[in-house]
Amino acid sequence: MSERHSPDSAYAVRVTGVSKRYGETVVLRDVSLEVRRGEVVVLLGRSGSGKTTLLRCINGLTSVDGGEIWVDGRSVTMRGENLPELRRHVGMVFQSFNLFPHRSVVSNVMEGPRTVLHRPRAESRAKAMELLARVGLADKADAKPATLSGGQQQRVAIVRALAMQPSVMLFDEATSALDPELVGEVLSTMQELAEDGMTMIVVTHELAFAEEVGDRVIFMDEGVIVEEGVPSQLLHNAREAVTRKFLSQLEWHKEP
Amino acid sequence: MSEAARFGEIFGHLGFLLTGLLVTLELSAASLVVATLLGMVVGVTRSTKGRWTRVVRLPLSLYVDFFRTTPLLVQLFWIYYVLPVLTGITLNPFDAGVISLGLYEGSYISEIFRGGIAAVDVGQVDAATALGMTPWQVLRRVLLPQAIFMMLPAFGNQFLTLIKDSSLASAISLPELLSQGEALGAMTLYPLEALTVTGVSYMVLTLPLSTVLTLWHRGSLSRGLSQLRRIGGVVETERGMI
Amino acid sequence: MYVWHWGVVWSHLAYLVGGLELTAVITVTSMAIGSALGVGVAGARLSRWWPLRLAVGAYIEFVRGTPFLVQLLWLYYAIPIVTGLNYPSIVAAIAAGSLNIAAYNGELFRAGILAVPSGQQDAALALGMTRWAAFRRVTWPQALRIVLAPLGSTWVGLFKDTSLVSIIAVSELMYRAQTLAINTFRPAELYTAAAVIYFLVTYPQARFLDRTFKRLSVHA
Repeated sequence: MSERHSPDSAYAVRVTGVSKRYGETVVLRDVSLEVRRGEVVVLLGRSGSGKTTLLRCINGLTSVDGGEIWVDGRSVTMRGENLPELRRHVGMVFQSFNLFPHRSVVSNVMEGPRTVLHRPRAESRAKAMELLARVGLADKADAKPATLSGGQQQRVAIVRALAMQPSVMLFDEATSALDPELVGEVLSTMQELAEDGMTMIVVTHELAFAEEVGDRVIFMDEGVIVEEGVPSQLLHNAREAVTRKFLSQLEWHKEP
Repeated sequence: MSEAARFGEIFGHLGFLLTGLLVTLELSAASLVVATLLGMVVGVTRSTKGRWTRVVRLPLSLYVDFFRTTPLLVQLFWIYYVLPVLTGITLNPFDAGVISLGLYEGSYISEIFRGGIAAVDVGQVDAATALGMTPWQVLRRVLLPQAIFMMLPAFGNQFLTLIKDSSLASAISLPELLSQGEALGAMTLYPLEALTVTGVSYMVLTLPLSTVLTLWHRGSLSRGLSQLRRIGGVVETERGMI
Repeated sequence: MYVWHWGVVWSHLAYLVGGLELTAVITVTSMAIGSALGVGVAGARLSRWWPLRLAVGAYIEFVRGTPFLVQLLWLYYAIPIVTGLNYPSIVAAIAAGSLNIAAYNGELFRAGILAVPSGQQDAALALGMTRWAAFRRVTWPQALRIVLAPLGSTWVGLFKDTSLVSIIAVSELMYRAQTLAINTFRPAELYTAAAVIYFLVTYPQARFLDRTFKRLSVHA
């Protein structure tokens, strides 16, 4: 039965039979997926496999052509659904950070609580400073994003999303645009988040991270979920040939 | 009479020209206000993807397309000669000028707004939307602040164009600068000299702003900002859905 | 309620639309001459000899800082005085158009040439081309592609500006509409017709140029 809100304590995200096409190209083909509360799910795949599209469908940035998505018991796909309201509970971190360049760092973090949640300025600022301190960037509060390194910007972006106190965090190749030496600091932040119990769906190529932090790994190819499993199994002993081929292309070694 | 003496005669009537210059300034200022407000509303509405804007977007596109592809002179004559016939309201040349220039330049300014908004990195919209902002909030807090900065040169340029276009009001006998210049030429029988001084007067109006714009352009070139951003020339960009 | 009598338009339609002939002639001629001059203007602005740069720069500032109507009227009076002969108004129209376009297009060509990466010229010279050949075969075509879109804009702008030559009694569309409006006492029908005709003729041009240049043009 499709009710708009069906509170479900076990599942944070539920994707059922989702399909999406752009013109002639089918990007998602009957994809189904369930993410438990507190679970960290890693999405792997080539570019064009549909993993980013799937992520964007989960918070409604991209609309679906068929199927249903539920986040925290709220429907994303039903017509007339209040998407801005839903997005308060889903945080997203982008490959290109997308910090607001015309605002200072702390202002960026305050933007959500102020504009969307209508919290008072003092309270928002205090919360923002607290979050920035947690990632060690409190001293950059009044700087403009452009003066920060990529890794610092991305950590600000993570904190900006966290300021909304979401129940689910989506990461779209959060470290792909970073210089190698900056990747670690962002992954550490993500790991801390996971250890604090955040429900996370992470699209990434960082297989070490997937193994270390992920509870479940899903491999997608050409719009379908090819295989999923626990990291130790999928990453070292994948069932499907396609998966194994992909992993070998990433120069991933089989030894656990 | 020597050339210098002829110019002397013209300069003797400088006050006469000056009254025209003041009218040009008034006309330009009033039209600019109308054009900017109109352009902002039209441009922003055409850039928003809400459900309710879909209905109004077609007539707005028609307005912009029509006013940008027909000559200002035709529009001016229409407003001054035809509108009163249809509505019974008589318009004085100044009001007709303001309405006509406002509508004409407004269509161009709306394209500047549209181009400016479209030029903002689409990732900004994604991030703002993902935070839970409504399209209106995204526009107000994230898009417009960034767009306006990029629009300034094109906007300045349009203002210059507006001042020059105001000269067409001479065709409906508004005593603005060109009109006075022509009258002066007829009075003194030295039309060429009168027009030269008129031209120089227009330069006095346009040169300051034109210099500022050139310097800004050079400045931003050296700062490496994107110089061939086609703002105001309309570049359609594909944007993800909100 | 105003009662429209469109008969006035229909009975004079051939005459009205015939005005487009001169509109086209003026536009095409001005564009051709103006563009040719514009290349010279661009060259002058890029030259190492600063008096030339300054002089041409001043000319461009004047053309861009004064209304086209002023330039048109100025030439209308100036040509007979300078040459001592009496030319038909259309000469002034084409002269004004050409000089105007020369300034605007000249600046466009200059911007385009500057936007071509200098590596292109280097590569051409390294292949053994002379400077002139390198310019003609490598730099210029690329410069042109870069500024195609603004060039299209200039064309459309010129086409609309020809309506101003009605003021010096050149018998193009606007002048004919105006004459008819005065003689038939029906400005509403005539000016509306003129607006519609301009739209029907200009809009397709604008769209065509937009589409073609979007496909052909290159971003530096």
